[in-house]
Amino acid sequence: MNAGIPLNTICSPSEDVVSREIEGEIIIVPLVAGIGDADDELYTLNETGRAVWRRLDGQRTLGDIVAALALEFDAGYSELEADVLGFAAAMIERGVLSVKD
Amino acid sequence: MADTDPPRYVVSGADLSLSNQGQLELLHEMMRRGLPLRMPVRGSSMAPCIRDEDVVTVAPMDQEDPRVGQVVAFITPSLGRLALHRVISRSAEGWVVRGDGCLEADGVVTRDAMLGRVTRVERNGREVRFGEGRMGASIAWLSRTGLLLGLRSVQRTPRRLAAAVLRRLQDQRLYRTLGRRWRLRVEIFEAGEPDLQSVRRWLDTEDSGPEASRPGDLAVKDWVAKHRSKVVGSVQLVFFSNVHLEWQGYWLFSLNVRRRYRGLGIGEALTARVAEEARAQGATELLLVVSEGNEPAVRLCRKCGYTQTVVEALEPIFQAEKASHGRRRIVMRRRLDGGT
Repeated sequence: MNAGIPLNTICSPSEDVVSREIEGEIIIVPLVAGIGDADDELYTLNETGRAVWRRLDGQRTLGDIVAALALEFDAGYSELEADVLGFAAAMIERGVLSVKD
Repeated sequence: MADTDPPRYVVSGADLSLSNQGQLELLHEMMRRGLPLRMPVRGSSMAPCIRDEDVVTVAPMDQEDPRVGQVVAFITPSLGRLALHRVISRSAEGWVVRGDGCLEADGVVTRDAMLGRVTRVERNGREVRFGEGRMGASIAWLSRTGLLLGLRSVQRTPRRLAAAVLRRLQDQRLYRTLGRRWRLRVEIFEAGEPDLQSVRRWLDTEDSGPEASRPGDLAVKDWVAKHRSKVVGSVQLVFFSNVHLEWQGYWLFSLNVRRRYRGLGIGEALTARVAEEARAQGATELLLVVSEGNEPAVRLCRKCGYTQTVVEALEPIFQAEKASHGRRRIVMRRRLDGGT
């Protein structure tokens, strides 16, 4: 499902979510009609998600993030690429990430 | 939101438990951005207006000062924790805040420690009144004068009487016999994290998560008894695997049944489930600790085949407890291999 997302895509957290790092977790609260919902709609990210999320600065492309992670972690480049694109696809679909034009 | 992709990278809030400090940080962030937050309530200090597991919406105060009667989210002056209580008066330094069901006020809360005000309360998916406007001001006055607790005490009298009658009934054989049929609607499940959270709230051990200080040579399995979807009982099987420990082996811990569900065979069923699992894991015996003076519990243990025994290494601890608390605990054992 991530075949449609090119590596030169720049993503950033959507304006429809509030995120904050709390107790080592990245907590994401979607805004529903302008209200944060910490009862039904709270999310947190797994390790891969956290590593990517921290690098989403609105400047770096997904490809830049893959390269940065490849330098930092002992993992195969293609595996990391699949993970980053998979994460971006899942987050865009949930409205948590938006794509920069 | 679409949920077609397996949640490989995200964990839903249902599996996430924010501590009080975590909730405080999140609320702080939302208020700083001027956004309301809908969040679950833990605790009953505002009962009956706001109850445990209600969902409240907290809105930023903007430039407005809190008003007497409003329910506010604030940082408690004594412990620095997040709380939702009612403003009962104004003082020179700030506002005096108190939970509707609390014996004492929280003290004076300054404007900086005020995070937001409660604008909506939902219970079981429906909006409920929680003492807003003039009603809130009246509750604040009653709280200030001490009359609120007096009224609540009168209101609770029938409940206390009913509890006393229930305790008497639970001792009657007829009640227990009839209860066995009713108990068929209570089922036992291996506990998931949401169940354990319910148990911690019920037993008021919210801040002592089970994983907090568990050593590596300790294995724990939990079960809960549920009536409809409500947790009404819980139990643990604990295995101390370190062979150098004098209490190495399988132990039944934390058997609890909610008061109104006692006498219906739920404790017996939970105990049997633990024995079944211990036997499946190869245990030849199961041990437990019970307070000597807790006659219903000791009676239940005897009925389930447990007899009193002694674990020498624990005796000094039990004796010291008796000296300081006046209560003596004992160890009981049940053979699982058919021996005696």
